[in-house]
Amino acid sequence: MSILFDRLQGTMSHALDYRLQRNNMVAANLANIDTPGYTPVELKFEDQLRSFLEGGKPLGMSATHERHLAHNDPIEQGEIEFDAYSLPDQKGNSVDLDHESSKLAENQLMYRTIITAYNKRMSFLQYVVREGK
Amino acid sequence: MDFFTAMNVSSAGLSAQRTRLNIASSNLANIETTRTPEGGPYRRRQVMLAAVPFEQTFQELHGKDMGGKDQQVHSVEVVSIHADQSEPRLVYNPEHPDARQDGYVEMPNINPVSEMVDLLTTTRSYEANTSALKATKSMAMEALKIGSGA
Repeated sequence: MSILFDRLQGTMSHALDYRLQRNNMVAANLANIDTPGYTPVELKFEDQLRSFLEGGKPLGMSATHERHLAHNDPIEQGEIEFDAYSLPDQKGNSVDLDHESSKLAENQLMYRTIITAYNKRMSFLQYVVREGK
Repeated sequence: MDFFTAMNVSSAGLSAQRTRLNIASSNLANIETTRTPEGGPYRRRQVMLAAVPFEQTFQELHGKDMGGKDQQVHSVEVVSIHADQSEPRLVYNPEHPDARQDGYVEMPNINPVSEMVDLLTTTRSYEANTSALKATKSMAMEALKIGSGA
């Protein structure tokens, strides 16, 4: 496994994809905050990401032949669930503004964290490539 | 799936809330209106919102299938603005030009308290959508910094 493009690289980009998708879902939930009968949706991906990190079960399609290209797209493996955080109101809408806002903030923070970690890693590699200069 | 999905969904939410705001203002402005083009007193207007799968909207607009997870992302749409058909409020005022034979005037069926509550919740919902939009924008800006070595 090369040190430049290892598993972590892929994990980070997948994690960013997940975070973006989760952001889209929170935005959709907030847009439908007054829609009668709307149930908020949520993307669960922590388990999938963990199994990817632990190198256990490969995500997506697995290569069954050494000449096959593995199709590892874990974003397809995340599970969309209805977010049953609060009870529906009179109009049958169960979007909780505080819950969605906190999810939005958490997601944003995690996105930034991943990018900062990625950049740190890159600057470390740069340091090595420049022979410590 | 991209940043514009969330931005488009949030902007649909913003415009839906703006429509609600306009309707609530219109209801409050016409709280004493006894004459309308369709005859009779002004009737309280209500906005009906519906969730539409974002992918479908995108397909209609661009004729392209995005595939994947966006099928659970729902945009919002104003499906109709309908008039509340409940009974008008009757006020006894025989001197009024629009008074009926029995001296009662049919006034709009608007409750100012419920309109004010509507106005407040609309404002909050609008704010919720702007914060979602801001979050998406800041994530997009952050994504531009990938690999800048900061």
